[in-house]
Amino acid sequence: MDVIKTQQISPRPIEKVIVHPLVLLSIVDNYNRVAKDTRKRVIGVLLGTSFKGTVDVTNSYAVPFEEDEKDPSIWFLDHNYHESMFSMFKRINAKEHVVGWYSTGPKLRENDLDIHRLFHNYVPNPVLVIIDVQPKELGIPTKAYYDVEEVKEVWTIRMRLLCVCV
Amino acid sequence: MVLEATMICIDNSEWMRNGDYGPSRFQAQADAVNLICGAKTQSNPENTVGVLTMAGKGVRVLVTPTSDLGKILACMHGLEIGGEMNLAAGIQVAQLALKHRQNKKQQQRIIVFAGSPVKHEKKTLEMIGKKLKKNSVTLDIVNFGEDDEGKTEKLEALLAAVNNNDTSHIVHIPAGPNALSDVLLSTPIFTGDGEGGSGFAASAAAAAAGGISGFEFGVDPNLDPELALALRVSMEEERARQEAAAKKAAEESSKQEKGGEEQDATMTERASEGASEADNKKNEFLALAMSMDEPASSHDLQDTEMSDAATEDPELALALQLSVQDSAKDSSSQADMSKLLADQSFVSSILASLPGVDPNDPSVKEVLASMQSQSEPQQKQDEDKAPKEEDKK
Repeated sequence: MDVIKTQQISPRPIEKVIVHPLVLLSIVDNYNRVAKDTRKRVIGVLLGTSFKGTVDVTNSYAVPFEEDEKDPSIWFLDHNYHESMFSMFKRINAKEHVVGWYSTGPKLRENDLDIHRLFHNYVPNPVLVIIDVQPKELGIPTKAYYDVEEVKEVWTIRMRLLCVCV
Repeated sequence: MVLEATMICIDNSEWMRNGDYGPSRFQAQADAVNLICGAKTQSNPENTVGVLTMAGKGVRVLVTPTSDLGKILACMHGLEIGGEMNLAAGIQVAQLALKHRQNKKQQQRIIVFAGSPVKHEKKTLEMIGKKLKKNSVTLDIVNFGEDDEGKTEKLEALLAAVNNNDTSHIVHIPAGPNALSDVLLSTPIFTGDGEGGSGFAASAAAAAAGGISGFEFGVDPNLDPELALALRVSMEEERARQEAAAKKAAEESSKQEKGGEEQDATMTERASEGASEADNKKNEFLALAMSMDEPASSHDLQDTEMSDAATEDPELALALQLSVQDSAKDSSSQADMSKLLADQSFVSSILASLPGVDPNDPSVKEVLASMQSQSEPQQKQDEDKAPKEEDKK
């Protein structure tokens, strides 16, 4: 599908991630309606623009996501939903591209790396933003990560999620 | 017309490179998947089908349940073979995917193609099965490909844990000349729970059968039902006649030597199976040989046979009567016929010309041997009758 193509030719390492208030509001609202008192988390896609190492996240939407509580390697993300949704969003604002994805965390989980790898199909260097939906103290409720290839042994390439200095 | 959401779990592990099914196991699987998708969407337009692969880097959902056949067929392209199948994870992810189906009224179903060895414990599979049963998900297992120790048991145990009112099925498909998809057509996976998709399945089965082995009489019942019916009736008559002959011959030839009895065994065996054309041809020839072995007193037998036939087919009866009259007139030609039949080469040439009869078949060889040993004069009725019967086919 054409949604997979992006306009960036050479991905620059991400230095700054700017999250617009609409994104925060919609994520928190969705979380409160769907998964408030459960231990489940909400996952969604971030839309925006990326320019010279700065990522501007302007819009977002949640996607159907399920994971097994006991076995973290069992998870399902409806990527057909994402592709259809993104193609519709593109019709209203062609400048918005997929820049990454978000999770309501509250912390990183084991399958996050696998999910991140899935988003590599849609954008060269996706960014993961963990939104803290129930913050205890005042401050910036977001944490952004991107992944880095680390050659652990000769034949395997491991990815690590590094925190972005917002 | 059951409203269903189906997830098909494909095995794209290294074991699928094997060519013992169709062009390759993987290709046979892909054809089967296409067939299933078509059948499901045809039986109910609101049905949705999704596909996921179990091997490779990990379980990957290719298509989430959708009723768009084009998407499903498109995603089957460019699939790579490699890695090992993870059955447990595959089934669990399929279950998660079904949880997110759009129409909650759809019945959840998972179809698993298990072609490579199952490395999970039986207990793990049983637990998964119980979870599926709790969430009222039905499971169909297609067991093909590799057959290592315990695989069948494990899959049966899984099925037993999931099964609820016999809605889940398991099919074992051994390697063979038939394509995987054709064998699947006749299984409960296609025919559903007795209803649903039967129209599609029946027509697909007819098309498949026509393409490969030919219809039973070489005629498509859809194109020419009357002719097909007529052929079927005459075939059944013939079979009935042969069975009567076999019974009488069994009594008579119990007085005779070894050749007769062995042939009886094969004869009655064959008469009772009598399903395919090849067998019928064999039957006819064996009947011919059998009747040739009989002593002259079985003239009565022929009359009884002929009267049996007469009641069913007046045309045939007339012909038979004529032939009886003829045979009463010229018995001189009997001797010639008997000589001819005693001639080994002539007989083998007849055998070779009969389709489906293999001259190397042991039972046929026995018959030949017994014919050689006996040199009594033949009844011409037998020869006349038998070729006439063959002509009428």
